[in-house]
Amino acid sequence: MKYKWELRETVGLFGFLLVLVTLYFGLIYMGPAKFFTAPNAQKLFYFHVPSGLVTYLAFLMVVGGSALYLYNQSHYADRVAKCSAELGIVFGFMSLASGTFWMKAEWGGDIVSRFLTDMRLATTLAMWILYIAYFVYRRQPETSIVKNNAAVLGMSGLIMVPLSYLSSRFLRSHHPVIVGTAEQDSLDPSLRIGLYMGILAFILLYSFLLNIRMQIEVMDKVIFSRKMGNL
Amino acid sequence: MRIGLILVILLFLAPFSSAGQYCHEDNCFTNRGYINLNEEILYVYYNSLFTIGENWFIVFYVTGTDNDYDVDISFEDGNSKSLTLSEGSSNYTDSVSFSGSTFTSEKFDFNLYLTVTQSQGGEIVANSTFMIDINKPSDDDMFYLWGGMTVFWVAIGAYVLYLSSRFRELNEKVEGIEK
Repeated sequence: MKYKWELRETVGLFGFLLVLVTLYFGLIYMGPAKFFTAPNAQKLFYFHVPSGLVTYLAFLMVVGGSALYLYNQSHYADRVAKCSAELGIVFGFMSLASGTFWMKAEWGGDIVSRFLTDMRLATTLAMWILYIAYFVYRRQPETSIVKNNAAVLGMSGLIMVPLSYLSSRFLRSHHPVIVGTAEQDSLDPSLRIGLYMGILAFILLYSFLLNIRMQIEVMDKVIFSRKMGNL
Repeated sequence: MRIGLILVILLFLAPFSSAGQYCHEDNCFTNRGYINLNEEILYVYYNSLFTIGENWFIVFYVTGTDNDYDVDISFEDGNSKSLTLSEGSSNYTDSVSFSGSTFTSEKFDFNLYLTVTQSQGGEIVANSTFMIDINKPSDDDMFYLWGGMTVFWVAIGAYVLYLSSRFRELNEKVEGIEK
Protein backbone atom coordinates (compact mmCIF):
# COMPACT_ATOMS: atom_id res chain seq x y z
CA MET A 1 0.00 0.00 0.00
CA LYS A 2 1.70 3.20 -1.16
CA TYR A 3 1.39 6.33 0.92
CA LYS A 4 -0.46 9.06 -0.97
CA TRP A 5 -0.73 12.76 -0.26
CA GLU A 6 -4.41 13.31 0.35
CA LEU A 7 -6.72 15.93 1.75
CA ARG A 8 -6.03 14.79 5.31
CA GLU A 9 -2.29 15.50 4.90
CA THR A 10 -3.13 19.02 3.75
CA VAL A 11 -5.38 19.41 6.79
CA GLY A 12 -2.60 18.14 9.06
CA LEU A 13 0.00 20.43 7.51
CA PHE A 14 -2.30 23.42 7.75
CA GLY A 15 -3.04 22.57 11.38
CA PHE A 16 0.66 22.28 12.18
CA LEU A 17 1.45 25.60 10.49
CA LEU A 18 -1.38 27.23 12.40
CA VAL A 19 0.07 25.85 15.64
CA LEU A 20 3.37 27.55 14.75
CA VAL A 21 1.57 30.83 14.00
CA THR A 22 -0.21 30.54 17.36
CA LEU A 23 3.13 29.89 19.02
CA TYR A 24 4.60 33.04 17.43
CA PHE A 25 1.50 35.05 18.31
CA GLY A 26 1.43 33.90 21.92
CA LEU A 27 5.13 33.93 22.73
CA ILE A 28 6.41 36.91 20.75
CA TYR A 29 3.69 39.11 19.27
CA MET A 30 1.56 39.51 22.40
CA GLY A 31 4.46 40.26 24.80
CA PRO A 32 4.19 39.62 28.54
CA ALA A 33 0.57 39.39 29.61
CA LYS A 34 -0.93 42.08 31.79
CA PHE A 35 -3.06 41.42 34.86
CA PHE A 36 -1.48 38.03 35.54
CA THR A 37 0.75 37.08 38.45
CA ALA A 38 2.84 34.96 36.09
CA PRO A 39 2.88 36.90 32.80
CA ASN A 40 5.19 34.45 31.02
CA ALA A 41 3.52 31.24 32.12
CA GLN A 42 0.26 32.77 30.87
CA LYS A 43 1.50 31.94 27.34
CA LEU A 44 0.48 28.36 28.06
CA PHE A 45 -3.08 29.61 27.72
CA TYR A 46 -2.90 29.50 23.88
CA PHE A 47 -2.28 25.73 24.00
CA HIS A 48 -3.87 24.73 27.28
CA VAL A 49 -7.38 25.92 26.38
CA PRO A 50 -7.48 24.57 22.78
CA SER A 51 -6.17 21.18 23.89
CA GLY A 52 -8.78 21.16 26.67
CA LEU A 53 -11.59 21.97 24.23
CA VAL A 54 -10.36 19.32 21.77
CA THR A 55 -10.34 16.84 24.67
CA TYR A 56 -14.04 17.57 25.18
CA LEU A 57 -14.62 17.22 21.45
CA ALA A 58 -12.78 13.87 21.35
CA PHE A 59 -14.72 12.47 24.30
CA LEU A 60 -18.00 13.71 22.83
CA MET A 61 -17.09 11.80 19.66
CA VAL A 62 -16.68 8.73 21.89
CA VAL A 63 -20.16 9.36 23.27
CA GLY A 64 -21.60 9.79 19.76
CA GLY A 65 -19.81 6.73 18.38
CA SER A 66 -20.82 4.61 21.36
CA ALA A 67 -24.45 5.70 21.11
CA LEU A 68 -24.54 4.91 17.41
CA TYR A 69 -22.93 1.52 17.99
CA LEU A 70 -25.48 0.66 20.65
CA TYR A 71 -28.25 1.81 18.32
CA ASN A 72 -27.32 0.02 15.08
CA GLN A 73 -24.10 -1.97 15.80
CA SER A 74 -22.15 0.22 13.35
CA HIS A 75 -18.51 -0.89 13.31
CA TYR A 76 -17.48 2.43 11.83
CA ALA A 77 -19.05 4.26 14.80
CA ASP A 78 -17.30 1.88 17.20
CA ARG A 79 -13.99 2.57 15.47
CA VAL A 80 -14.54 6.32 15.73
CA ALA A 81 -15.25 5.93 19.46
CA LYS A 82 -12.18 3.78 20.09
CA CYS A 83 -9.76 5.99 18.15
CA SER A 84 -11.21 9.24 19.46
CA ALA A 85 -10.83 8.04 23.05
CA GLU A 86 -7.12 7.53 22.47
CA LEU A 87 -6.77 11.04 21.04
CA GLY A 88 -8.83 12.46 23.89
CA ILE A 89 -6.39 10.90 26.35
CA VAL A 90 -3.41 12.46 24.53
CA PHE A 91 -4.99 15.93 24.26
CA GLY A 92 -6.31 15.61 27.81
CA PHE A 93 -2.82 14.88 29.08
CA MET A 94 -1.52 17.93 27.22
CA SER A 95 -4.23 20.10 28.71
CA LEU A 96 -3.85 18.75 32.25
CA ALA A 97 -0.03 18.92 32.20
CA SER A 98 0.17 22.43 30.75
CA GLY A 99 -2.61 23.55 33.12
CA THR A 100 -0.72 22.16 36.10
CA PHE A 101 2.43 24.11 35.20
CA TRP A 102 0.43 27.28 34.63
CA MET A 103 -1.56 26.78 37.82
CA LYS A 104 1.60 26.36 39.87
CA ALA A 105 3.02 29.61 38.49
CA GLU A 106 -0.20 31.64 38.65
CA TRP A 107 -1.91 30.36 41.79
CA GLY A 108 0.94 28.70 43.66
CA GLY A 109 0.16 26.35 46.52
CA ASP A 110 -0.02 22.59 46.63
CA ILE A 111 -0.94 20.95 43.32
CA VAL A 112 -2.45 17.80 44.84
CA SER A 113 -4.79 19.70 47.15
CA ARG A 114 -5.86 21.93 44.25
CA PHE A 115 -6.80 18.88 42.20
CA LEU A 116 -8.79 17.57 45.15
CA THR A 117 -10.60 20.78 46.05
CA ASP A 118 -11.10 22.68 42.78
CA MET A 119 -14.11 21.16 41.04
CA ARG A 120 -12.98 21.97 37.47
CA LEU A 121 -9.67 20.25 38.06
CA ALA A 122 -11.19 17.31 39.93
CA THR A 123 -13.95 16.61 37.38
CA THR A 124 -11.56 16.96 34.41
CA LEU A 125 -9.07 14.58 35.98
CA ALA A 126 -11.89 12.14 36.77
CA MET A 127 -13.12 12.32 33.16
CA TRP A 128 -9.60 11.68 31.88
CA ILE A 129 -9.06 8.69 34.18
CA LEU A 130 -12.43 7.29 33.14
CA TYR A 131 -11.38 7.29 29.50
CA ILE A 132 -8.05 5.70 30.41
CA ALA A 133 -10.17 2.90 31.89
CA TYR A 134 -12.08 2.79 28.58
CA PHE A 135 -8.79 2.65 26.65
CA VAL A 136 -7.42 -0.15 28.85
CA TYR A 137 -10.68 -2.09 28.55
CA ARG A 138 -10.46 -1.96 24.78
CA ARG A 139 -7.01 -3.53 24.71
CA GLN A 140 -8.41 -7.03 24.49
CA PRO A 141 -9.90 -9.17 21.71
CA GLU A 142 -12.86 -7.31 20.29
CA THR A 143 -15.86 -9.52 20.81
CA SER A 144 -19.34 -8.05 20.55
CA ILE A 145 -19.66 -8.18 24.36
CA VAL A 146 -16.46 -6.15 24.77
CA LYS A 147 -17.70 -3.64 22.23
CA ASN A 148 -21.09 -3.37 23.92
CA ASN A 149 -19.55 -2.90 27.36
CA ALA A 150 -17.08 -0.37 25.99
CA ALA A 151 -19.92 1.57 24.35
CA VAL A 152 -21.77 1.73 27.67
CA LEU A 153 -18.58 2.94 29.38
CA GLY A 154 -17.99 5.42 26.56
CA MET A 155 -21.46 6.85 27.08
CA SER A 156 -20.44 8.01 30.57
CA GLY A 157 -18.96 11.04 28.83
CA LEU A 158 -22.52 12.22 28.44
CA ILE A 159 -22.32 13.10 32.14
CA MET A 160 -18.59 13.68 32.58
CA VAL A 161 -18.00 16.15 29.73
CA PRO A 162 -20.79 18.61 30.68
CA LEU A 163 -19.92 18.17 34.36
CA SER A 164 -16.30 19.10 33.73
CA TYR A 165 -17.14 21.93 31.32
CA LEU A 166 -19.78 23.55 33.53
CA SER A 167 -18.02 22.96 36.85
CA SER A 168 -16.25 26.33 36.78
CA ARG A 169 -19.63 28.03 36.37
CA PHE A 170 -21.70 26.27 38.99
CA LEU A 171 -19.34 24.50 41.38
CA ARG A 172 -16.54 25.71 43.64
CA SER A 173 -13.61 26.49 41.37
CA HIS A 174 -10.89 29.09 40.82
CA HIS A 175 -10.73 28.14 37.17
CA PRO A 176 -11.89 31.03 35.00
CA VAL A 177 -14.84 30.71 32.63
CA ILE A 178 -13.39 30.89 29.12
CA VAL A 179 -16.50 30.94 26.97
CA GLY A 180 -19.20 33.03 28.54
CA THR A 181 -20.61 36.46 29.15
CA ALA A 182 -18.70 39.36 30.71
CA GLU A 183 -20.60 38.82 33.96
CA GLN A 184 -19.15 35.34 34.14
CA ASP A 185 -15.64 36.75 34.19
CA SER A 186 -14.98 35.45 30.70
CA LEU A 187 -12.07 35.98 28.36
CA ASP A 188 -10.39 39.32 27.76
CA PRO A 189 -10.90 40.32 24.07
CA SER A 190 -7.14 40.81 23.51
CA LEU A 191 -6.60 37.09 24.07
CA ARG A 192 -9.32 35.93 21.69
CA ILE A 193 -7.42 36.00 18.37
CA GLY A 194 -4.66 33.70 19.62
CA LEU A 195 -7.20 31.44 21.27
CA TYR A 196 -9.32 31.08 18.12
CA MET A 197 -6.21 30.32 16.05
CA GLY A 198 -5.16 27.72 18.60
CA ILE A 199 -8.59 26.10 18.65
CA LEU A 200 -8.73 25.89 14.85
CA ALA A 201 -5.18 24.49 14.73
CA PHE A 202 -5.97 21.80 17.28
CA ILE A 203 -9.25 20.81 15.62
CA LEU A 204 -7.37 20.36 12.34
CA LEU A 205 -4.65 18.33 14.05
CA TYR A 206 -7.29 16.23 15.80
CA SER A 207 -9.06 15.52 12.49
CA PHE A 208 -5.77 14.55 10.85
CA LEU A 209 -4.65 12.29 13.69
CA LEU A 210 -8.10 10.70 14.02
CA ASN A 211 -8.10 9.88 10.34
CA ILE A 212 -4.64 8.28 10.54
CA ARG A 213 -5.57 6.38 13.69
CA MET A 214 -8.71 5.03 12.07
CA GLN A 215 -6.75 3.89 9.05
CA ILE A 216 -4.35 2.05 11.37
CA GLU A 217 -7.35 0.39 12.98
CA VAL A 218 -8.66 -0.71 9.58
CA MET A 219 -5.23 -2.08 8.62
CA ASP A 220 -5.07 -3.94 11.91
CA LYS A 221 -8.44 -5.53 11.17
CA VAL A 222 -7.39 -6.49 7.64
CA ILE A 223 -4.22 -8.19 8.89
CA PHE A 224 -6.11 -9.94 11.67
CA SER A 225 -8.83 -11.24 9.32
CA ARG A 226 -6.22 -12.43 6.76
CA LYS A 227 -4.34 -14.27 9.50
CA MET A 228 -7.56 -15.86 10.71
CA GLY A 229 -8.38 -16.82 7.11
CA ASN A 230 -5.00 -18.55 6.73
CA LEU A 231 -5.51 -20.69 9.80
CA MET B 1 -2.24 24.41 77.75
CA ARG B 2 0.51 23.82 75.20
CA ILE B 3 -1.57 25.32 72.41
CA GLY B 4 -2.30 28.34 74.62
CA LEU B 5 1.42 28.81 75.19
CA ILE B 6 2.13 28.62 71.45
CA LEU B 7 -0.61 31.18 70.78
CA VAL B 8 0.84 33.56 73.38
CA ILE B 9 4.31 33.22 71.80
CA LEU B 10 2.87 33.80 68.32
CA LEU B 11 0.97 36.87 69.53
CA PHE B 12 4.15 38.17 71.14
CA LEU B 13 6.15 37.64 67.94
CA ALA B 14 3.51 38.99 65.57
CA PRO B 15 4.53 42.68 65.76
CA PHE B 16 8.11 41.76 64.77
CA SER B 17 7.21 39.53 61.89
CA SER B 18 7.04 42.28 59.27
CA ALA B 19 9.56 44.64 60.77
CA GLY B 20 11.97 44.33 57.86
CA GLN B 21 9.41 44.88 55.15
CA TYR B 22 9.43 48.68 55.15
CA CYS B 23 12.76 49.34 56.74
CA HIS B 24 13.70 53.01 56.81
CA GLU B 25 16.73 52.67 59.03
CA ASP B 26 20.10 54.01 57.89
CA ASN B 27 21.67 50.57 57.81
CA CYS B 28 18.99 49.32 55.44
CA PHE B 29 20.43 51.29 52.54
CA THR B 30 23.54 50.82 50.48
CA ASN B 31 24.26 54.48 49.80
CA ARG B 32 24.30 57.73 51.71
CA GLY B 33 24.61 61.13 50.09
CA TYR B 34 24.34 64.60 51.50
CA ILE B 35 23.27 68.03 50.33
CA ASN B 36 24.42 71.26 51.94
CA LEU B 37 21.50 73.52 52.69
CA ASN B 38 21.88 77.02 54.12
CA GLU B 39 22.98 76.00 57.57
CA GLU B 40 22.07 72.38 57.71
CA ILE B 41 23.09 69.18 56.03
CA LEU B 42 20.43 67.04 54.44
CA TYR B 43 21.38 63.37 54.41
CA VAL B 44 19.89 61.17 51.72
CA TYR B 45 19.73 57.39 52.13
CA TYR B 46 18.94 55.20 49.14
CA ASN B 47 19.76 51.96 47.42
CA SER B 48 21.80 52.32 44.26
CA LEU B 49 19.89 49.35 42.81
CA PHE B 50 16.24 49.72 41.92
CA THR B 51 14.79 46.22 41.54
CA ILE B 52 11.76 46.15 39.28
CA GLY B 53 8.83 44.67 41.16
CA GLU B 54 9.99 45.91 44.57
CA ASN B 55 9.21 49.25 46.17
CA TRP B 56 12.16 51.62 46.25
CA PHE B 57 12.63 54.07 49.11
CA ILE B 58 14.63 57.22 49.56
CA VAL B 59 14.96 58.59 53.07
CA PHE B 60 15.83 62.16 54.05
CA TYR B 61 17.33 63.07 57.37
CA VAL B 62 18.16 66.53 58.61
CA THR B 63 19.37 67.61 62.03
CA GLY B 64 16.94 70.39 62.71
CA THR B 65 15.85 73.03 60.22
CA ASP B 66 14.95 76.64 60.73
CA ASN B 67 13.25 76.74 57.36
CA ASP B 68 10.71 74.77 55.38
CA TYR B 69 12.18 73.11 52.31
CA ASP B 70 10.52 71.48 49.34
CA VAL B 71 12.41 68.55 47.88
CA ASP B 72 11.71 67.47 44.33
CA ILE B 73 12.89 63.97 43.46
CA SER B 74 12.78 63.16 39.78
CA PHE B 75 14.25 60.44 37.60
CA GLU B 76 15.62 61.40 34.22
CA ASP B 77 12.63 59.88 32.44
CA GLY B 78 10.27 62.29 34.22
CA ASN B 79 8.98 60.10 37.06
CA SER B 80 8.96 62.40 40.04
CA LYS B 81 7.69 62.94 43.54
CA SER B 82 8.12 65.68 46.09
CA LEU B 83 7.97 66.22 49.80
CA THR B 84 8.28 69.07 52.25
CA LEU B 85 10.82 69.14 55.04
CA SER B 86 9.04 71.16 57.67
CA GLU B 87 10.70 73.49 60.08
CA GLY B 88 11.40 71.49 63.19
CA SER B 89 13.49 71.11 66.25
CA SER B 90 15.76 68.16 65.59
CA ASN B 91 16.30 64.83 63.87
CA TYR B 92 13.72 65.33 61.19
CA THR B 93 13.19 62.27 58.94
CA ASP B 94 10.92 61.76 55.98
CA SER B 95 10.82 59.40 53.05
CA VAL B 96 9.44 58.90 49.59
CA SER B 97 8.78 55.61 47.86
CA PHE B 98 8.50 54.63 44.21
CA SER B 99 6.49 51.55 43.40
CA GLY B 100 8.16 48.53 41.85
CA SER B 101 6.23 49.09 38.62
CA THR B 102 7.72 52.57 38.05
CA PHE B 103 10.11 51.01 35.54
CA THR B 104 9.69 48.05 33.26
CA SER B 105 13.12 47.66 31.68
CA GLU B 106 16.74 47.67 32.78
CA LYS B 107 18.67 50.93 32.86
CA PHE B 108 22.20 51.63 34.00
CA ASP B 109 23.65 54.85 35.43
CA PHE B 110 20.19 56.32 35.54
CA ASN B 111 20.08 59.86 36.91
CA LEU B 112 18.04 60.83 39.90
CA TYR B 113 17.81 64.60 40.33
CA LEU B 114 17.18 66.16 43.71
CA THR B 115 16.21 69.80 43.83
CA VAL B 116 15.75 71.53 47.16
CA THR B 117 13.85 74.82 47.21
CA GLN B 118 12.87 77.05 50.03
CA SER B 119 9.17 76.77 50.65
CA GLN B 120 8.88 80.54 51.15
CA GLY B 121 9.85 82.24 47.91
CA GLY B 122 10.76 79.14 45.93
CA GLU B 123 14.45 79.94 45.81
CA ILE B 124 16.56 76.95 44.79
CA VAL B 125 18.85 76.09 47.66
CA ALA B 126 20.66 73.05 46.27
CA ASN B 127 20.79 70.66 43.37
CA SER B 128 22.23 67.21 43.38
CA THR B 129 22.32 64.19 41.10
CA PHE B 130 22.60 60.58 42.15
CA MET B 131 23.02 57.60 39.91
CA ILE B 132 21.22 54.33 40.26
CA ASP B 133 20.91 51.11 38.29
CA ILE B 134 17.55 49.67 37.47
CA ASN B 135 17.57 45.90 37.51
CA LYS B 136 15.05 43.51 36.09
CA PRO B 137 15.20 40.23 38.02
CA SER B 138 14.93 36.98 36.09
CA ASP B 139 11.39 35.77 35.71
CA ASP B 140 10.51 32.88 37.98
CA ASP B 141 7.60 31.83 35.84
CA MET B 142 9.75 31.16 32.76
CA PHE B 143 10.53 27.76 34.25
CA TYR B 144 6.83 26.94 34.29
CA LEU B 145 6.31 28.21 30.75
CA TRP B 146 9.08 26.04 29.35
CA GLY B 147 8.10 23.12 31.59
CA GLY B 148 4.52 23.26 30.33
CA MET B 149 5.60 23.71 26.72
CA THR B 150 8.07 20.81 26.93
CA VAL B 151 5.52 18.38 28.34
CA PHE B 152 3.06 19.57 25.74
CA TRP B 153 5.29 19.08 22.70
CA VAL B 154 6.81 15.85 23.99
CA ALA B 155 3.29 14.41 24.42
CA ILE B 156 2.06 15.22 20.93
CA GLY B 157 5.44 14.40 19.38
CA ALA B 158 5.57 10.99 21.06
CA TYR B 159 2.03 10.20 19.92
CA VAL B 160 2.76 11.20 16.32
CA LEU B 161 5.91 9.04 16.37
CA TYR B 162 3.91 6.13 17.77
CA LEU B 163 1.28 6.49 15.03
CA SER B 164 3.95 6.84 12.38
CA SER B 165 5.86 3.70 13.40
CA ARG B 166 2.64 1.71 13.81
CA PHE B 167 1.44 2.86 10.39
CA ARG B 168 4.74 1.83 8.79
CA GLU B 169 4.76 -1.52 10.54
CA LEU B 170 1.21 -2.38 9.49
CA ASN B 171 1.82 -1.11 6.00
CA GLU B 172 4.73 -3.50 5.61
CA LYS B 173 2.58 -6.37 6.92
CA VAL B 174 -0.24 -5.56 4.50
CA GLU B 175 2.21 -5.39 1.60
CA GLY B 176 3.68 -8.74 2.73
CA ILE B 177 0.22 -10.33 2.72
CA GLU B 178 -0.62 -8.88 -0.72
CA LYS B 179 2.59 -10.36 -2.19
